[in-house]
Amino acid sequence: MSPEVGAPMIQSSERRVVIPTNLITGIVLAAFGYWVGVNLGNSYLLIDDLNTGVLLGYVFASVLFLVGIGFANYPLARLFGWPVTPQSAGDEYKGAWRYFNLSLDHKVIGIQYLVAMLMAMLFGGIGAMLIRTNLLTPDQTIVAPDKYLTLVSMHSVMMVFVASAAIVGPFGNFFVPYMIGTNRMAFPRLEALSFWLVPPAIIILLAAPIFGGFPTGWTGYAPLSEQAGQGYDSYIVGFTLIGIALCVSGINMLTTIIALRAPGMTWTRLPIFVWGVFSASILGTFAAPILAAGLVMQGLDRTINTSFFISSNGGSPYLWQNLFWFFGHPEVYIFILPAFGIVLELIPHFARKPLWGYRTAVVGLLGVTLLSWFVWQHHLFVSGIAPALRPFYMFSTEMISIPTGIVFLVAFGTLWRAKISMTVPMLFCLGFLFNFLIGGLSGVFLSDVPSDVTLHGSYFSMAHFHYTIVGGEIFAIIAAIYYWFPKMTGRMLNNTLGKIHFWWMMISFNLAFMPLFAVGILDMPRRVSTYLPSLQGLNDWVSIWAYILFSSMLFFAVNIIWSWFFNPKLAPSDPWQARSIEWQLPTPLPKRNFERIPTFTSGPYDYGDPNRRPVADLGPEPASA
Amino acid sequence: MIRQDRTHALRLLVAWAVLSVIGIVIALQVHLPPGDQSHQASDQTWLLQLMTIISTPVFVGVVLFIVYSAFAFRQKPGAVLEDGPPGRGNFRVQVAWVAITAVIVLILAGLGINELGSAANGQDFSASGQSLGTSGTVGTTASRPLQVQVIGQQWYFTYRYADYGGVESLHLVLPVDANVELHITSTDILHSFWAYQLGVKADANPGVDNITYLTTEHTGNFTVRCAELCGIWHGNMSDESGQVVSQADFATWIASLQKSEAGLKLPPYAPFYFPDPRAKGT
Amino acid sequence: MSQRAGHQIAEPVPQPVLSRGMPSLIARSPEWAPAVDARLARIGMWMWIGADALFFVAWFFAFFYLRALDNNHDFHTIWVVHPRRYMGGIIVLLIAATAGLFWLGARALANRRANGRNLLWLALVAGILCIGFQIYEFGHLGFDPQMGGGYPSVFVGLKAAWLVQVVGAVLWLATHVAQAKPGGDLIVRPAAAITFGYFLAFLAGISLIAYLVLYFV
Repeated sequence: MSPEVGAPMIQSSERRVVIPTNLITGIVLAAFGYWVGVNLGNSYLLIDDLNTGVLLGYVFASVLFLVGIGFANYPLARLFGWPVTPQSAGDEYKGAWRYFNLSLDHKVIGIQYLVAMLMAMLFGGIGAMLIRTNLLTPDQTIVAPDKYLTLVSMHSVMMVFVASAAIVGPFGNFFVPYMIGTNRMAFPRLEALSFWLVPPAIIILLAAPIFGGFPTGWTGYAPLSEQAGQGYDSYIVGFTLIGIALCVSGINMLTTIIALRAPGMTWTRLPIFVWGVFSASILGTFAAPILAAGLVMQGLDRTINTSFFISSNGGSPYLWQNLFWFFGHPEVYIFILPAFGIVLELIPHFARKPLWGYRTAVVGLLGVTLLSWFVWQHHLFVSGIAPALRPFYMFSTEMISIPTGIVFLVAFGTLWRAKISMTVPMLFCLGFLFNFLIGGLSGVFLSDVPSDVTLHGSYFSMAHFHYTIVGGEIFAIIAAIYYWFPKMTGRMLNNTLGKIHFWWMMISFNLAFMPLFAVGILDMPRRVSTYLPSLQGLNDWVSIWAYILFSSMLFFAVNIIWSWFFNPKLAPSDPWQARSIEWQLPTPLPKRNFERIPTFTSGPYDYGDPNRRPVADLGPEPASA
Repeated sequence: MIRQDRTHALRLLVAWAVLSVIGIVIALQVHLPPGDQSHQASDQTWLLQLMTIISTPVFVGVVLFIVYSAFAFRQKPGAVLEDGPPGRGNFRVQVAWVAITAVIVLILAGLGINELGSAANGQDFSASGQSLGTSGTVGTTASRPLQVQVIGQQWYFTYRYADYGGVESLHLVLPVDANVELHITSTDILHSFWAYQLGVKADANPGVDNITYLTTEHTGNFTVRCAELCGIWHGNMSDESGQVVSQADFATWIASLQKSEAGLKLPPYAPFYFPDPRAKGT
Repeated sequence: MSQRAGHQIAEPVPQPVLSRGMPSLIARSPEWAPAVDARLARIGMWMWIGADALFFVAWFFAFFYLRALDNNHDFHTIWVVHPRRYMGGIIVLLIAATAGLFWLGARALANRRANGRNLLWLALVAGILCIGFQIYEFGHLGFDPQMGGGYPSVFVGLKAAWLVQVVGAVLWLATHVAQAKPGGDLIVRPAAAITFGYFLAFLAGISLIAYLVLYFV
């Protein structure tokens, strides 16, 4: 970082209290915090199946981990009047070590997020493989049912963690500042916090099997969750941390996009990916607190024996279902809205055409954002909550297909008579459209109350949301990785391996998940370790194709690891000949995003226009001033 | 330019029409659940069939477009990249698209609401939480449906026949051609009563009397499962010997049940039961 | 490039028509300038208040939902003695005073009047008293949340969630008091202090609503 950047407030003569903070102090303090929490909970507070101890242990460990990483330095310095290191001062550590430590650089945070998310996805994927292995036989010969439910719960919660942060985290943090033309995020500390909450959440979740796991799935329905053992405390704390991360990252993203756009970057020139991140951040910011409140209630129920969800004591299980899904439905759009953004962002660059109906696309994204607050009870059609409102929720749910249809329309309008260069990211975008179409159409079946009565809670709904999340969001994430990898790491991913990966994954994904619709229609509920022997053939088919799907990730992993660490060849600065601003910058990216704040002069998708201007004025600073 | 547009559009339209017809013909061959054992089940079957038919042209059209554009609009690999025509949107097309999706949505919602509000699904929407009528009278008349209470617990369902003194059974037996009012509740945690062939699914909540309606139409066996995760034996919480029997057989069966339970002291009948809080079932 | 160093705002460079509204600020000032930070803090604070409002909406929803269901007639059983109403009064007063004093203090600081720091000290004492009174109330509830009941559950949970945030807010208030000493950076903090005042005012508002709901409904 050049010396003139930022504002060095410390005079060299001033005394500087040096608090060493890095990953190691973080881990040491976390272990200490866990020990303190467990002992405090078990010795001095209530003992209810020792939940208090475990819960407090996790909370203390998380907080002290953050302190050890370095999040307390700034408040403590402010409190005691020590000199404050300005946010602009750059990272404390250099080289590869800074990727393992607190960094306020959005580029570093983006890479940290990417690696963490890929690791978490690997854990979740292994869980899925174990689940499918158990389902090779219709009885529980392979895994005991409690272990099976733990696997299901771990897989689902882990994948929800991944899905809710895997686009806004890596790509949002990395590219939004470039796309809107700024050198900084609005709140770099909050941005870093949103990342550093994720590793504790993942580790706490992975610790659940030590305490016997938990049998509740990702929904955590009370009162089953009140029965569950100490393993369930992992769910409460881990999910709360993710909720805080969602909220904090959303605040950062919204403020950045609202207030730090460079001159000329009007709302109508904003790249559609930024719109996707923007709409998902609205949902993340305002939905996650509801989840946090619900989880605090569960924690109180399990520790100090309140009765929020115990109907015999004046509580109600319905309360949890309402709170959870009031968060939970916006949550699934937190998954998919940035994926829409990625797909609509990539298609114009590879179709070599302007985004067709840009304003309509924005209206579509914001329409989904708005409507997603009014549909949560479609998860509760058969629960007996307010049956009189079911027609309303059925209608609002089906309304969502209008803005979602707009996304397809915009994609198709852009593809119409385009000059498509069929690269790997483009293949994944087309795969997204196909898979999400199936996911969306099956969603219509589930949205109608009478047909939902049969399909609800069956493998049909399981296949539906896997089509939207795996076939939709994960495909979009992979497209984004192939697309932006050269800019993020300075290395191209191998094209041939990428094409093999796409076809391998696309075919195995569809062959694995398509039969699950049939399995659901043929009377198989979700989350069961035993099923009708007559369904064994279909289930074995699904399991085998699931293994093949998992193996397709090998190509991806090999491609990433080889290209990133063993390929010496630097990628060109604009390998796709794309117009948007991040490709106009040199590769590898300079530490400082822009030497001068750019002035945007046209939109990012003006392909084919003979009179087009360059996307932004990136020239050197005028000599005046 | 416009001629090219027309050529592409015409090709797509023709292919779409042909493939849609083929798709619908295939879709009509598929047997969809849950069958016709009850009025509700046959309604659901019909609705699923209808939605399959409506979604077939949509599916065919979108897939056709993706495949067609992937082949017709691609550049040769390795060639110098060319830009496409700079179209930025067509207002009429957008309005038409939104209008078409809106109409489809309205049709689907209308069908669903109509089906939901039809007499067979109950007298009104807000049937939850009502308490039962007096027990002891013989049901299965047109005016007064047979009342059966379904009690979920870890990990089986118990059925109490309110109209027959609250006798209990572990298998659900229903008379044919009868209106049935199922009152679903739980004594520990959440379950979901799913009678697959009858087209009935409703959650069992502790402290709640969740009511759903049923009109049996054909005799036969049906399967009962739990469709809400309820602990480790959730997958085994099923009963494949539910039956819809003739009115006479039902009368015989219920009489024998009453006789066999005459000496037993059953817990008093209630619309719902408040279980022991935090009973750890594991 | 050298004028970007330090926290001085650079001379506003006349911008073409392109820069309108908020982006113009970032165009005119170096990106870490206090004016930019203050504006970001204000927008971010409104976002945070909105998010936190939904957090409390969940608690109030729990209150009214459980009250409407009244399962097993156990929402508010007879052995639950209504809590002392004067407690709520004190809390509301304290928080309102905190926010008000704080506001004044921030404004005084902005004008660099000397009495601002004293007002801040008063606000800090009020905040600490508020925490103390709330802890006192937890010690003298008049009912045992473990005996069950929807009302005691919501009462304890809502108050505890609120208290945690008040503790955090008072800690941050303490940092402002610490900053207000002579030699503190007087350029940056007044704007941040006012922005932080929004949050205190929000917490006061929540405590007022909680008081009305928990003690009177």
